Amino acid sequence: MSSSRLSRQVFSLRRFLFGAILALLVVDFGLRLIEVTPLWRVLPVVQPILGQPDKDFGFESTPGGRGIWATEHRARLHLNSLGLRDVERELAKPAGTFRIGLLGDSMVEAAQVSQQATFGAIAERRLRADGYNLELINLAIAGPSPIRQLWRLERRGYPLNLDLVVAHSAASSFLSGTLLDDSANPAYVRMGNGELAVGYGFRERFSQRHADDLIGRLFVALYQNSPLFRMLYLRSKEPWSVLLGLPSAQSASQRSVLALPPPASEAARVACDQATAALEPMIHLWRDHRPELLWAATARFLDDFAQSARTHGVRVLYAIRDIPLARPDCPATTARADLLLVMDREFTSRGIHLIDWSAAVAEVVGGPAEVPRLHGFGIHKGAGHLNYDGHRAWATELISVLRRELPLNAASQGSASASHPATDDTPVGKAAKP
Amino acid sequence: MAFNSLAYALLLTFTVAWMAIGSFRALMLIVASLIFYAAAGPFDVLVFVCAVVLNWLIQVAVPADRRRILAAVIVNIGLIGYFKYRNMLLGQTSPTGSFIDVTLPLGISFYSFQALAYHIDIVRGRNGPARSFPEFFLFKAFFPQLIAGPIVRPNQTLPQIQRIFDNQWRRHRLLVFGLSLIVLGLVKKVVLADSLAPVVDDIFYVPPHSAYLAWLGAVLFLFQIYFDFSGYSDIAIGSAYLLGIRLPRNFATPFLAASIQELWQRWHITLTLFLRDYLFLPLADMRLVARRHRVMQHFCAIVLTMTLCGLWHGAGWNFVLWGALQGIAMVFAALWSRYLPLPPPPLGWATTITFFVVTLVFFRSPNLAYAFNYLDTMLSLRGGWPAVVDDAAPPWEVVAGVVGLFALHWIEFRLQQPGVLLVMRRAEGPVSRGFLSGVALLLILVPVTNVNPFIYFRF
Repeated sequence: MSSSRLSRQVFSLRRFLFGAILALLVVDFGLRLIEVTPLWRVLPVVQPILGQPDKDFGFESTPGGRGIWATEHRARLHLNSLGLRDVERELAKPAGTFRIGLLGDSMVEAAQVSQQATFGAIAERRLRADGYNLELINLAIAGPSPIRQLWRLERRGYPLNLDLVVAHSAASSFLSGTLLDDSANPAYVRMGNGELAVGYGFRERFSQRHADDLIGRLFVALYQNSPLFRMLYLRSKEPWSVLLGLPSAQSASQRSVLALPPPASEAARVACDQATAALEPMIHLWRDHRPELLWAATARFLDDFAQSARTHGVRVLYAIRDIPLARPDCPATTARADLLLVMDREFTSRGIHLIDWSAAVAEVVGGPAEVPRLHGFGIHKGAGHLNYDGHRAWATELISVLRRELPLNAASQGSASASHPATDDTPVGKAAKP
Repeated sequence: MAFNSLAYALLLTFTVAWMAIGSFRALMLIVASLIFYAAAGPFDVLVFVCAVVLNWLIQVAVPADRRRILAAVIVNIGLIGYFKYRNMLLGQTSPTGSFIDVTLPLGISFYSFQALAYHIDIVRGRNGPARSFPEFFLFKAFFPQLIAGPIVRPNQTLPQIQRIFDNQWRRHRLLVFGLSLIVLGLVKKVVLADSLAPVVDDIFYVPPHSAYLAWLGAVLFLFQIYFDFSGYSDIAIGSAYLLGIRLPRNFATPFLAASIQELWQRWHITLTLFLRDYLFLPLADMRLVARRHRVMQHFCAIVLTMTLCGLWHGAGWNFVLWGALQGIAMVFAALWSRYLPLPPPPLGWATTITFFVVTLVFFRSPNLAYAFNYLDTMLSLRGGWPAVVDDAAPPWEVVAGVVGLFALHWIEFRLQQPGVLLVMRRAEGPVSRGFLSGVALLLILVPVTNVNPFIYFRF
């Protein structure tokens, strides 16, 4: 190849790359444009990563982070200056205000709806309208590990000088092994002497090792500020078959949509069998203390939580959800009652009040059969995170719990008769009926 | 393999590069086509290969007269009939009441029609036959048009394919044109159609409770299906162009049409022409009735052709009714233009688009009962102007969005003017190629919340 031809080709290649870089800038601009206009409701958006690697916590939310949540349902997300999915709060508690911290996972963080539509915000508005001088602060952070919530409370909650904590966890969180898995956040690991200690295995991850150096900070800055970079980063983490768009992954997801529901006559029996099967590992854990290691971690977590709350003088209500509900004629109903007795004993012995959240919500909406409609959006209604009806129902239940807990002086005299402020706060189901 | 996948981008890039620098180009195209279709699964590949072999046997074994047409009709319509209409004929429905079978081989409606056109054109002397089985195979399997068209005639692509076999292939010089079409198609599919899909699905999931939502669902579906299918066609034409083969145009901004006939001349053009040449004209020209009743026969042929067009789109009475309504509207428009003065274009446009939106409800609904229920809400105007609840977009934003969709359609019309081609010719070069390739690749990587296969894949 002659040198002049080679140099021509190199020149062409450089111009081609220049064009490609131009494409990167244009697409990045386009994605930003969508986010700041009403088009975010429909057109493609890149979901935000509202956090960064953290040596103590694994992954911690970034104060002031914002973006468009796009999974299940779209909503604008904004973290306040304290890094909470909440409105701006003063670190110092206002005089005469009763402060409640709402701990929990993604169900409580509720990225799928706007901040005003979360059950915590609805409950706060309605209680304030009823004259309670309180703040209900959403401390939740997505992630299935209950220990993550404890760490969150210690780092973000206690500095707010809380009076009461309402913690939420799924019953499955204690079974899934997240309490023992320190690959993403702190967890309990067994030491050489057989004792459990808090492990920080996640610190070995590449992202953690470079969290504080220039490359790490640059990487975080890029994925937090450039939708295009974030898109490429998120796509790079997908399995190859999904990234390539090969049909195996697609058809599998379609097949799940096409799966036929059981016939109506079978539905009750199937539901009973499913409830029985789902209860079994819970009973093993809470009553039989099996598997031993899992129980040791659960007990240690409860001890740590209770100790932490005692140290800071905070009362704790612990709401456990997703303990399967069954019809009264199903044997699982008796097993469920036994399980709750055991669980209640474990919590109460540590000074924590247990709430059977699923049963309470079911009562609000008129029975277990109505609970699925509180979850999911559109064609996916019936499963997933809380929808708007779900948040209203949970708010109704939270209000009734808090009314029992709040001291009488939390309600100011003058506004006790205030009416509910907005129609969208109207409770659903049974509570909404005259 | 979907056009908006990284796998397709890699396959196309490799094939284009091979065509530019390699030998055995025809073989490469056949292999690429098989890889492309293999993603559909072994069953689909088996049915496709059997269809190709059967059609080749018809060519070599049946004389080129009416017997060949009969054999081609039996084989190709038989294949579609068995795989697509079996459930409808047997009355077997899915839980949603639809007759559509989830195991329908991918693209069977398209490649069967293409084979039928091939045999008919040869018998009628419009085109010479493929000279060898590989030529015939590539004509049928050429991957950009394999699954959802455009439905090509032998005189459109066979001579181009034969040039590849004769080592006379030449790359088109204006690569920017092909890349622009691919980018336009990806914007339509990834940015617009896939974004509208969840909204439309939500509205059609249960019959909407207000007329506002019902109209919104129908109008958005109008654009979803247009962006989806015309996007697919744009990518197909652009991809084929990069491989040195020109495919016919399939859409010409149909929603700017001022009459229903014009709309169908601009919507899925290759299917409309296929139906005109191979169904409507034979039906209209048959000497069935006295000369004075030929107009009536002509009108009946229109309605029958469009009814069968509806049936081609899907196995269900809702599709049949949808097609029949299109035919009746065409007859009505023909009679109007014969006896009454034409309405002003804006009125004609508004009437045409409203009719098409309303009848599309039959197209989108799983069955007739659902469609009538939906239309009842849509035409009752109940529900009034909606209140903004649960973070919903305010109605003015929604109306602005719909106006924006029509505006995009108009912009697309402007982009199809000859002047744009001159601009492209001036812009041709490494920078524009790099830019368009980059945009195309990034559009493929844009996150999707749920997988939406091209709508016409199911036909």
